[in-house]
Amino acid sequence: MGWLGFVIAPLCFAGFAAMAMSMDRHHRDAAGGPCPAPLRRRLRRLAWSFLATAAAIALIGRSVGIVAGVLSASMAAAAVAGLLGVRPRVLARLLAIPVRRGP
Amino acid sequence: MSWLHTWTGLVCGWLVFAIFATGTASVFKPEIGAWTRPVLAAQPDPDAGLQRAADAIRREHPDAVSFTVAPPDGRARDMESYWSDAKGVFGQAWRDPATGAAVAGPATSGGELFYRFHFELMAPYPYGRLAACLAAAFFVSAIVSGVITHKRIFADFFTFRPAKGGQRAWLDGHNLLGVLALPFHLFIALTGVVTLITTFMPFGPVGAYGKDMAAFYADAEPATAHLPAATGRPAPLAPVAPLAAAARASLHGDILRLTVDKPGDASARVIFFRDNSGAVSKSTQAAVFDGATGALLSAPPPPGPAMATYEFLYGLHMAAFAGPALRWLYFLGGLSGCGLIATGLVLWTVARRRKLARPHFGFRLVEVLNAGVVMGMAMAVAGFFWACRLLPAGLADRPGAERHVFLATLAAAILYSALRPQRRAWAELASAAAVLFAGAPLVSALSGGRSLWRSAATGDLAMASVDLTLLALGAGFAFIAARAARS
Repeated sequence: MGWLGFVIAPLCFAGFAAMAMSMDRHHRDAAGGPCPAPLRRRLRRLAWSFLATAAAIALIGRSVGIVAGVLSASMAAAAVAGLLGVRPRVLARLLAIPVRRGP
Repeated sequence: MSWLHTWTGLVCGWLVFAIFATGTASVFKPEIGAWTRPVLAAQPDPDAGLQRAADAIRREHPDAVSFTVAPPDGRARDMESYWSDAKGVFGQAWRDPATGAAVAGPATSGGELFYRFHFELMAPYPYGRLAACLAAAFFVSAIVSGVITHKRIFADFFTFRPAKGGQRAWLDGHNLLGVLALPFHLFIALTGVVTLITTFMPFGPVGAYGKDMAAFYADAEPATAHLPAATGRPAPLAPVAPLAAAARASLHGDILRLTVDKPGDASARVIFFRDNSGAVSKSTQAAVFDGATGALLSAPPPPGPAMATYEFLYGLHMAAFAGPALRWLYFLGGLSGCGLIATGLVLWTVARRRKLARPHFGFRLVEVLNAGVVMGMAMAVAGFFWACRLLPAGLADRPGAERHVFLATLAAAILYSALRPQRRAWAELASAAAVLFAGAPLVSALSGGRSLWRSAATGDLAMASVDLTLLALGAGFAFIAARAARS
């Protein structure tokens, strides 16, 4: 079940990226303005469905899958945070969020 | 709570950093072992290797009453073996699967140096192990109190602002690693203590078994307990290679190690322990054969619930079950722990430097040890790879010399840190670590070890990935050195 990590990690990354983009502070950094309410709802739904899928796959792998899931979630969240700190625009582009002309 | 976090973090910080750094390297212990013994072939035949090793041990040590061999697998290319005679005298050797004899070429500690340091700190038994357990206990209290102190866990979940610089950036990085990797840090520290539990907290077994610890170990490992007494009637040992194939079929899995009890006697037993790929728990399954007739005997009983819990927690720490993806995740988790501790140590000084008109001795000591231990451990780890290739082949106790190089590098870094202004010390020691890491593959290629291009050309993935990881670490430390020099 070692290969599960290869599936879970990208799913966690997508989930946390959508989650971060639904937060005003990070949305401002990545897209140049606050997150509009309808987009926020969609991003939240997207984030939770990605993370739930990752969790479901982790559970299929039983003990090994859960360990892979916990570690993948940590590393994916750290990757999202790192990207936000260094190249925030990349996250907006990955999720196809329109970027306003920055200040 | 903030006070608790600050001071437990400082007191255990350097020690836990050293433990984390070597533990992170130990994730790839078999690959490092392969790198240090470049004469070994990449794809050895495990059963033939076991047979050759068993024959060699019986030839070299005819008076051995018990011996154990770990077969090579997809990762390990050497075979760890040990044996003991009737007087209880132990011997140990790393064997070549192609010959069964000790691995040719210069003697080396291989992947063992980082692994042993990780929990024994090169200190005499049991003090090193106790210190490692205490450090883990301090570390757990530091990370739990740290999360409680840091109230904005969800609001600051993704917050990292390196552009702001100074204390803000350090604190962001520290919080980020502490919160996001908390599950890993918590379980790795707690299960780390569990691996040494009979040393750290022997009260349970002592309470239940009193002085009869032999009974405790018999219950803990039923496969090697209750073996028949020697009959004194000689009987040739059945070939182990066919038994290994039968053991695989009986265990529905691969073999972790082989133990032969009383070889050459009519009461001989050949025991194969199952490895634990596919499940977190260290397997307790074993296949036991009559060593004289080669007949499969009844399986030993499964362990009780306490032992099963222990096997799970032990397996979770050792990560022997982990496939390639998960192994890299453990490695990154380990690096995140190193980063967490290093940023925490730096924060202690950054938060105080502005308030101090003249740094007192205690402050200066923390500063010196911060740069000295953090960068010194990196240099010592990289230094081992140099020592492994460059120390003269005929040196007496060459593995011991490798340990001395490791410790001397760490000591030199701490001394250097004491002699230089702090900013310069960080930048210069990081540069040294970068040169040592990036230079190791080059030294390996030039000193007759295996070069990266030859590993790549022959498709030797394990060897190439050790070299590439060393180069990546070199690049990482060069980046840190550049940042430290600019700030």
